[in-house]
Amino acid sequence: MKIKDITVQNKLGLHARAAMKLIDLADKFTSHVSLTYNNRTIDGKDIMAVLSLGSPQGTQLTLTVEGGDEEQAFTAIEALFNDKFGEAE
Amino acid sequence: MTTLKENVLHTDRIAIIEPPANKKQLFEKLSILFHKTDDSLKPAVILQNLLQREKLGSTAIGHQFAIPHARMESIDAPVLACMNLTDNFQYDDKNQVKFIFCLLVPTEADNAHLNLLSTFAKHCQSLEFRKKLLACQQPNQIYQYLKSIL
Repeated sequence: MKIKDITVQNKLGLHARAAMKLIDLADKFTSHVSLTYNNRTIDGKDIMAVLSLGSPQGTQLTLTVEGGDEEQAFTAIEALFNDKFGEAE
Repeated sequence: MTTLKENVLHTDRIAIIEPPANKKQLFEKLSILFHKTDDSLKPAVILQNLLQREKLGSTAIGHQFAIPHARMESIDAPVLACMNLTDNFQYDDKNQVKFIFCLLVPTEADNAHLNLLSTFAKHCQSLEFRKKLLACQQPNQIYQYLKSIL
């Protein structure tokens, strides 16, 4: 299992399109992906759950990945956050 | 939890309609709902912005729900329109949609719309809540349900 705090860096926060990108990426892996915010842990492959976080820019989330491809999944998801979901700012 | 600010939702921006022929027609109907309560919101502009956003990726979020949205220069606070279709509508390749939660937000990003979406999504995770909304046959029922959560 891999756990690490990650920050929502893009200006718009974890809005709908960013959330969809996260789901699309997480779905490519078999590992279980979850995000924890304010003591609430949600399924990182469930769009409604990810949207329910409503995380603005600067939010710190705990990313947990567990499964056969956890290394690759974790690296890819962390990169997506660091890349600001492909957004310019 | 956020409280529903005055004017975010209005019964005149809630409709129960038969499924339209296509997504463009659906967005046209939503655009007209916004125009009904604020004639400075031009249906053609809303339609174009909704379609443009949709090109970046479908706004279906599963369980028969979709959240089309767009930024608008002419508003300074989020406004919401809702539709419950009388039957399922093929929204994209993968999703059939019945309930539409459509949001227009100001060009300048703030967190108000993230909060609205997050509150709505949080409730949509509940099967009971989804069943209630999908079963609504009167705009006022939808208004009352949303008012109680947003």
